[in-house]
Amino acid sequence: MVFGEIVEPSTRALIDDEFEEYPTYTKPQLIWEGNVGVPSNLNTLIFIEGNKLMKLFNALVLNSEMLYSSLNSENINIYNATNNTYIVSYVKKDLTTGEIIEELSQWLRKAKNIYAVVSEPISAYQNLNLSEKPETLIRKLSTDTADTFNCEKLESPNLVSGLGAGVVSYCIHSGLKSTLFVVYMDNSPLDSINTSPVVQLMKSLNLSVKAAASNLNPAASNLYL
Amino acid sequence: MSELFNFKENTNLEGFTLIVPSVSVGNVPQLTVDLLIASLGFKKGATVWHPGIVSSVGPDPYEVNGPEICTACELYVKEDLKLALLQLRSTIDFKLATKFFDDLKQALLRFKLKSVVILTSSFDYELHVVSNNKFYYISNQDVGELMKSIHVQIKEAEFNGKYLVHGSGFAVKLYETLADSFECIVLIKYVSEGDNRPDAIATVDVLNKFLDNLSTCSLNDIKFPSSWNCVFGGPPPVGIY
Repeated sequence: MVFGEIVEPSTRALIDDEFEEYPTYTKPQLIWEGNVGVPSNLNTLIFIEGNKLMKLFNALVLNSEMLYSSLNSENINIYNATNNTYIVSYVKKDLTTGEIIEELSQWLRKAKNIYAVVSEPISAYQNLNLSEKPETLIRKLSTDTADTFNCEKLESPNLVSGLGAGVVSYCIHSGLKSTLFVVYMDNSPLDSINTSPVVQLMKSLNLSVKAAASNLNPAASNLYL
Repeated sequence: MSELFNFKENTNLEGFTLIVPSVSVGNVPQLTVDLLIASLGFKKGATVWHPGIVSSVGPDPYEVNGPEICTACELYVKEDLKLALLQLRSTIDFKLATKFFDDLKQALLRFKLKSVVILTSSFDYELHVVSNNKFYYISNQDVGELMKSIHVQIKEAEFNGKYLVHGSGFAVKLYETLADSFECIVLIKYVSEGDNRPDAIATVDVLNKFLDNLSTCSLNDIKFPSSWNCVFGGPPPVGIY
């Protein structure tokens, strides 16, 4: 945000007058590719959401050989990482987060540790005591009071939406333990400095992280202009 | 699918009045419910989960550094007032809305509630007669005299028998779903979008006057919840000076 710039929200109320005509709900038929069903060795389930996080995880943690199962029509992939850890990556498409949670409810009920990592723009982070924001900031919300992650708790009035919020909501409702990590990042290209807190987070989640990533910001074209 | 309501402890809601905010102009209904929770000390009674509720989570909205995590939809209860509030912090997904209302109705029927009050707001510029009285109501009960005495006017139905309240979100639809099973009233406040805190206080005032359960709540005791701290954003960045 620059001096003098006015940011006007379109509306705060999510008004939808289309609600006058409601459709009848039909449950979508989802066809998974690859392995079907919850793996017996599932211990930790990590959800990641957001383009920047996906780019980082793809560069540092995931590879195509790890792919366990996928729902290509809805941009959902499940990877089998090391240490009985499974990673669910998601890019928003037609399914609501509630439908995805229902589809993955067996996974959530079986996993012993559930984490969600989501990214938000740093401009969305609100804190009365912080006038200078760092490039990258990680906050957490956990239903597990005994969790040991070295990370500050998200402060009011910040709210998080999306799949990560859906996972934690479902876990709270079902009495399961889960932790949500919110990565607030600015809009600059990914580099070793602004990705360093995320790499630390990956390590603390016991993920096997590659030493360095190249080509995090591939050029869109070879033209100078 | 899991149960819609998951109660923290055994709670009997028989004979209770339930207040439900509809996501509408200026979020006035949600602000009103926030004021009631913070001012009267409502306790979280149950979490509510449904695939139709757009998910959101955040820290405790009523206590700085409080232990609670708030989700998109929660039920707050005050047993001595026989009052329950369904706070909604996001919205209902369009394609799953009908399913949500049907599931909600089935759950509420099991509670044996006395009545349901749906709060909503509409665009100020829709009013053809501009006056100080910006409260209207729709009800399946004979409350005309009471409402007249507190200057709340009846909302007339359109020629096809349907109610049309622009910007009121799902209020009318929920009323149509619940009206055959509950004493039901929709309270509409016409507002302009902006700083809507005074509209929320005015709505609490009207609720005080027509809900017996709330008659003990004084406007002097109104407290703003801590989550309203950054209504106009955080502090300005130091770099601009």
